[in-house]
Amino acid sequence: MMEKHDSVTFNQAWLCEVIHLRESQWGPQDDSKARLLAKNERSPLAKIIRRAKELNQSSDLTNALKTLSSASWLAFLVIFSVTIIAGISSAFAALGNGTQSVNIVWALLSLLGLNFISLIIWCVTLLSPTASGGRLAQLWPWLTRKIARGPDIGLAVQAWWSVWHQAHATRWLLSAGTHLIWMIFLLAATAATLFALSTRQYDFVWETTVLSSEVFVKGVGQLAVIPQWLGFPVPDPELIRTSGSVSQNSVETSRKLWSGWLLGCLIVYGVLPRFFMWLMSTCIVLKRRAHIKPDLTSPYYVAVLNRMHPTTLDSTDAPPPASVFKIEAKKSQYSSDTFHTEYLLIAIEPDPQDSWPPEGIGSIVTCIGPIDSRESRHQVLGAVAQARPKNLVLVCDARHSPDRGTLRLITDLSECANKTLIWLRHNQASHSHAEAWRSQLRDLTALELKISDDAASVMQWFERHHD
Amino acid sequence: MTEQTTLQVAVVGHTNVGKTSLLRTLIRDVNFGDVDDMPGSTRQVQGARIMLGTHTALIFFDTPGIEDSIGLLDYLEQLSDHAQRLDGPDRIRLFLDSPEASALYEQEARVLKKLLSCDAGLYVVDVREPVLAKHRDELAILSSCARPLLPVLNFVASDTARTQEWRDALARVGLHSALSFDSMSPPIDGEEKLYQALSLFLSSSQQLLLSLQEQASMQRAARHAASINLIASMLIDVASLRIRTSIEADTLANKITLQQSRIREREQTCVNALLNLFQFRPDDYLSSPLPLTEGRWALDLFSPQALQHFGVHVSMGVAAGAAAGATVDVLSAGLSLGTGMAIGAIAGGAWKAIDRWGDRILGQLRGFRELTVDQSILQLLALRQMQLLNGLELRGHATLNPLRLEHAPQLSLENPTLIKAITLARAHPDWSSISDDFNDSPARQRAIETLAQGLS
Repeated sequence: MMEKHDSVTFNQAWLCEVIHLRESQWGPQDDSKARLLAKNERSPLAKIIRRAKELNQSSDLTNALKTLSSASWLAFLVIFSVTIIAGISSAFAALGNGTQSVNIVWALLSLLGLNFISLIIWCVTLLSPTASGGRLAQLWPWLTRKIARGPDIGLAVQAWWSVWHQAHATRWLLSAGTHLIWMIFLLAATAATLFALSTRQYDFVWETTVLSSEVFVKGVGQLAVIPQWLGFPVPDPELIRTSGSVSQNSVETSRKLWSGWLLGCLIVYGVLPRFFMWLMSTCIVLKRRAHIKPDLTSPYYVAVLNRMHPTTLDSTDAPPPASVFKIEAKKSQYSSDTFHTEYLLIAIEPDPQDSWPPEGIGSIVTCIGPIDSRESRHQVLGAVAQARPKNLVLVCDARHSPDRGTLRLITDLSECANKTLIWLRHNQASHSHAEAWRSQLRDLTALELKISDDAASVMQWFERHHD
Repeated sequence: MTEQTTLQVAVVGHTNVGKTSLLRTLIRDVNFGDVDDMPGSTRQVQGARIMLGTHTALIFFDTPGIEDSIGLLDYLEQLSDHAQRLDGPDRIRLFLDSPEASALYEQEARVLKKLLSCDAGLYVVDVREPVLAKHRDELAILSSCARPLLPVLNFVASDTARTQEWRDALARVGLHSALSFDSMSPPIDGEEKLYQALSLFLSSSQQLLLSLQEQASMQRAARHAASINLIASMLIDVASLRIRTSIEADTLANKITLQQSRIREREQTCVNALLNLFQFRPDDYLSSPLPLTEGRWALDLFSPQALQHFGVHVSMGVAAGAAAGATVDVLSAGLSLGTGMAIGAIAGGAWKAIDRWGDRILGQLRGFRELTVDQSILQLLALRQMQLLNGLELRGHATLNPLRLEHAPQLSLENPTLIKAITLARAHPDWSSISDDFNDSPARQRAIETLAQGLS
């Protein structure tokens, strides 16, 4: 049965990826101890994680990961503080110090304008498959990298991104970060606005040169529709019209209405959209994060797991005794005057495509055979025992691998002869086993075999042994 | 689970036909057994398992070679004269109990014993040899074991292969389908083909073999994808490498040496990673058909010969023949690209650009210059690694003799996706893992992905 769904924490996956990247770039680490410990884990995934953990402990990676985490917290704090300061100062910049009346249009635009434009850009890039998800959020890893210095940090960062990339979550991670930064900015700005409105007296006006006042009445009313649902106050058309001129704008209720409207707009058009976008991105990130785990089908992990369970099984049968490979050979026991035939030439398993008898062999030589079947083997053995050659030449094809069967035959044949020469034909062929032949024939020490390479030297050998 | 059975397959055949080589290639393990151009390298039965997930699905048994089939067949006949009317397997069992089974025919007895206990056998033949009497007798003995035999034609890629002769001979003893599998340069989907062929013989294990076939093809695809990814990240690393230098001759020369050594090292890392991915040991490539010597490319990356060898079109500076020529070219490429990109990035108004480019423009104004790698070097790098990958995919794990790759694969970096990814990388010095201020980012990962897609 399938194992119960293995859950892998992000840190475990990250650790595995660090080891993966390191090993695939710099070759396998010495993992004999880690492998031994990991072998006892039950599932393959647990084995991989355990191995990564052990390898990590035996190297200085732990420090790199620790440095990186603390650096990322520090970076987060820096970004957080800077964002809050930026939010507060933008709120105070928009409202002024209370000595001048506040232009509500300018105030709203300066607080929400940039946010709104970047939100639209983000929504548009959502359509593109290769969108990054937000440049603002990249500030965090960038700053983290600036803070964290040390060996292996680059590798750890690389692995961190790689894990998210494999989970197809990078874009949503960056989106969540971007929305979070904007949300903090807007929350800080809203809080600062609330603080300023609570502790100072502002007069709100709107001004225009070319537009009619109806445009403002309509615009303000429409913007107020959603905040109104949430209980924020709405200036009535009359009040809006009267706010057009500074002199009439000192009524207490009008100030309250306008500040309520401004706060409503900030929350509804600033904080809430960012909050929902952040929530959505975070949900997607968390959902994809749940599926993060090392891809065990990747060749790297297949090889790692294979190393834990070697493909080669231990041989169960005992090694054969050396006597199996020893071919018993006796020196010819016949006395020299009992040899009947002067020159005999026999081919052992010749290539059917070769000419027989071989070219370059004189007519004085008796050729029998060739030995190309079990029957002819028996026939020739009988004939040679009868003929008792003085000088025997056995023709072998160097392209065939020597084997015990052939060597036994050579032994049997040469035991009947006074002197034996082995002629290795085709020993220059591309796949000739001449070396193997020479070494195997050398092992038949009792026979004192000579080896020849071509027909001419075979004929010379015959002449030399002619009395 | 129904599939808890383990299939056992004996690899049998005449001596020195490459049984162990075949298994090495199949299980992708260069450490398996002994491979040597000597008969009788394997003297004991040795198993190699193939896993399907966590389950041992199949065990291949490497057996010693059969060396004296003619003698053995004589002996078998001699034995059955005493006990008439025995069928094949019983005759073999009679032999296994006989005295010669532990003396004269000890090795043959091991083979037959294993084959009798297995579900099937792979009969490996060296098709460069003619079909001889001993082979026929061997087949007669092996078929006495009454186990399904799948002939595997080894060395079919050789120009002296007598494939048809062998197919005819095998058909005469009822073996009509044979698998062509050259263990030195195996077919790219050789493993799958073998399982497929086996499934025709072993109908009861068809499902298991089908799963193995799927697993093999999945692993092959994954290996290819992983290799391409390694090559792509190497290219990104090299393309994005920027080394700041002043224009004084001494400093420049030093920096060029630094740049070249880093790039050489990065290429070597990629070579090692590829070899590692295909499970070749570092000391194996000495005798490999890969265009490497001692695991390194014979021609230096920055030598004009290397460029010429791979047919990379080079600019005049490089073609002049000296390494100094290459550097002038390298320098100017860095400069023109640097300024152009800087203006573009600043126009984009990204905050990151100010950090990156501000510093660099200041450097340029103060008389510093930046070294980047020439396009022709990148092209050469890509070509060499792709050629290596090609060689690795088509290479057996048992190859003893070097094999020349006659033609460099035709890969052009003119592909717009590649150019885009490379150009992008050139503009991001922090993307280079061989640079001092390496910083990975999602954009780098995407660039690697794009480049990998372009390469495959």
